[in-house]
Amino acid sequence: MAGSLTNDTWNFAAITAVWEGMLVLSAGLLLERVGLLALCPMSFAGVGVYTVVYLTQHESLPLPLMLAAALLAAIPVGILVGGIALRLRGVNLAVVTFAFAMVTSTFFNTFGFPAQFSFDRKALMRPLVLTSDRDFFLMAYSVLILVGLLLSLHSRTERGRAWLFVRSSERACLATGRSVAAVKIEAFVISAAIAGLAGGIMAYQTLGSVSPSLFDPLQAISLVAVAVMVGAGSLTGAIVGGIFVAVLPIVLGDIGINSTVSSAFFGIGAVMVLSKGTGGMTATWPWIRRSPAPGVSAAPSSGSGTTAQTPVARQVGHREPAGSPASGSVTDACALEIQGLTVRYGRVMALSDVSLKLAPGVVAGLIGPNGAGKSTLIDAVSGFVPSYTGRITVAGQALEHLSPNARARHGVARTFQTCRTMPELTVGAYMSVFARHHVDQNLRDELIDYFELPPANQLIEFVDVGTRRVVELAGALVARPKVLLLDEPAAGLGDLQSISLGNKIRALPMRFDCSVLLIEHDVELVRSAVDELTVLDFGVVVGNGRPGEVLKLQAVADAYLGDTAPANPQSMDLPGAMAAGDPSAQASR
Amino acid sequence: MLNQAATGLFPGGIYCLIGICLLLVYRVGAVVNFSQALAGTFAAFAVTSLTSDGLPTWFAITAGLLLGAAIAVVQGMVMARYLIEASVLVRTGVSIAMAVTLFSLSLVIFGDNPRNFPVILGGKFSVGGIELQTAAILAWALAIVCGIALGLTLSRTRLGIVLRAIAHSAPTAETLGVRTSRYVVGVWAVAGLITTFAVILIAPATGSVDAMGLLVGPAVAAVLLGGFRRIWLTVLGALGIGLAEGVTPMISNTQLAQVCDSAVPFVVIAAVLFWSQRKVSVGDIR
Repeated sequence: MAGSLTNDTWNFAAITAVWEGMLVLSAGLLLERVGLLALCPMSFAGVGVYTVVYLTQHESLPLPLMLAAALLAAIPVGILVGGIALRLRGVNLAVVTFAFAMVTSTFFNTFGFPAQFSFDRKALMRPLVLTSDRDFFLMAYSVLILVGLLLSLHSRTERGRAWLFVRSSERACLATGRSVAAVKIEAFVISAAIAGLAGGIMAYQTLGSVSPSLFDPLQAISLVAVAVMVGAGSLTGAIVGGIFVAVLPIVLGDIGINSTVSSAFFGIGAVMVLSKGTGGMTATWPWIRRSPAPGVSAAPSSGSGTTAQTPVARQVGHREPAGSPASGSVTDACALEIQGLTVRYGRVMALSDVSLKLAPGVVAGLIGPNGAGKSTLIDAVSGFVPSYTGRITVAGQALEHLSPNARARHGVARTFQTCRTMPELTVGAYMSVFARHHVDQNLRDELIDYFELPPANQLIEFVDVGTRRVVELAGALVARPKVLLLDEPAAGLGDLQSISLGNKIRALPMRFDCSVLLIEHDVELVRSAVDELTVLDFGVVVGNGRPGEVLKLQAVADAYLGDTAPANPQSMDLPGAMAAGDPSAQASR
Repeated sequence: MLNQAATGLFPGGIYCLIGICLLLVYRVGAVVNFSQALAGTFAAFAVTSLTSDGLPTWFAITAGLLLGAAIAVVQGMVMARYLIEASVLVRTGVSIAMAVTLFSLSLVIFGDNPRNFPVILGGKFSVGGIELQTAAILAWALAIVCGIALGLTLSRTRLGIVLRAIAHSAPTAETLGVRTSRYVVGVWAVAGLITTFAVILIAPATGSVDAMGLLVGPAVAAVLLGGFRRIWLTVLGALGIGLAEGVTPMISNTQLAQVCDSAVPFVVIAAVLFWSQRKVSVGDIR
């Protein structure tokens, strides 16, 4: 058996490696960059093959047009499956796409390709320059490189980075003002186009006689297994994967092992990769491994912790002159006004007739025991509560019936209680996704300076969790929001960093022309950072006004300590501090 | 036409059996097991190797059942050992990879040539003019027994509570002192055993590695009809899909019928999933 391999075999296999690589790339970019498990890349390719073979029988187009036709024909199918992905997520999508792969496989095995068995079938002709397999391989390989380069360029744009947001958390993507649906459809269009192009190359490789058995479900899911194994979101991974798929069977055949065993390898390989427990669907190979930005240590960023930047000292040329607070100068409308907000989850009243006014240029605090409804309020304002009664307006604009990303575009920015940053992005890249139309580098750099963040080229993977939450906060400000809703931003920060953050938050309206609603458990931080304070308990407002006064209210103490709290003003300042050995407290139990 | 539909009863019963096993593995192992039918496929082919070597049929079938269960045990051990904290999606990805492995190993070791699969229960009989296969009755009887057993176990017994706890969060169950890996492996073994029996039962009618491995498709559709929760809806779903597959060859163009046959599960799956997700609102997405 050995030595029977000729140059012809290798040349043919090389072309196979190219289209297999494209298919692996098509599946991998959906999986690794958007987090979508779609098991039908072969179906898209099949559309490409079908188109080219069909056109051969009816027209005779030059090769570039044929490939373009294959690519374009696959796009509507991609949009169809993408539409399904808007409604179905995770395993549901995998199941549906698997069923779709089964249907297309049966279709191609039953009907074959146009004129497959007829006598006056026209063969697909390659251009003269590309008649030899070796030359055709070089052309196909160039196309693959080009596709990879275009994808790489795309991944550096804000649209491309938004894909990672969808993968990490759809909510995070919506909060930047971008549409999740647009991202998913775009991803499927690109994936289907690449697969369709691969189909065109498949057709030319065999001069129009493509075997329908290539589209069997086993092949389809083998492909996805390979994509998982090699981490196929990148071009290098795809090339490696393609070579693997094309070459391994030949090598095995040459040493006398049935070439189908190679599929078994892919399966086992994928199982091993997934079992590594990275939590994701891909391995970390050398071409994906990331390292800290040079010159920067991976240690947590140390906030100065002592003094905040004085708000008036720093001026930025393109902004309105600082020194005069934004409040009162532009508009009389409240930055945020909530009237009679009621939110029900089944029979539980999360919020009951809550009203709140946030004047422009003000930092307001929202505190309350766990379960009081604070996060629900932020969810309601930012659009993540499906239905509520009441009215919410931002700068005079009512928010009812607006989707979360529409609200973000209207000036509502928020952070999340669970940090939703992407380790694969740099600090600067992450923040730039929030920019609406073009990225204002000055603003971004100013924010990095202001919050003492790691440099813009530092990967978030090497930033500690507490600082990541501040990065999230800074990102939200890139969009120049009118209202910034902060959900416990200091959680995960040390004492000194918390104080420093509190001071910076206090100066936000002056520096960045927005109003802030701050949820925090750290009452000291809240007291020092906010101008006014609202207290929630079981979904109801129990106190509202200046921090010093509100914190002395009996109702507030009751909310934190229970009804048996002693009427001792000093012990009310810090919730959770029990008045030790107070006889009146014990007597009233 | 009733006779035509009745031919779908046998596959329907098999889908029901496999579907119940899928449901069991999902409810406890938190994974959609794409490779469910493949342990059985491998075992069924092994059975033919044994019978062609001259061993008695009952011995070969018993060995096949044990082999299928053993393969399932290995799968369960991988899941329990390495993927205890993984998400459902990652585990499903692993089951897909396992499917690829088992598919190709079956093809490599046994080839794809036609084989003589032993018929466990042959024969037909007529009820009121409709022809029914005996094997179909066996499949349905077994499916209903398994379904009832599964339902009662999960809802009424202490074992059921433990299993449901593991499905909800295996790491948490571990901290409560539950040896989750034993239960997970046990569930995979039981599901593997029953599915192997189902595949061996229908093997004479299917014949190829492809067709047998893909029995999982309609079974998944049936389980989906029950929202991956309700056993009786799974049973009804399998019945419906089987009958639909029996009836579709009545379309005149046989090629089109073949495609429609395979399209039935897809349409069912897509429609059911869309319907089940209709109330998913912006508040539910994370």
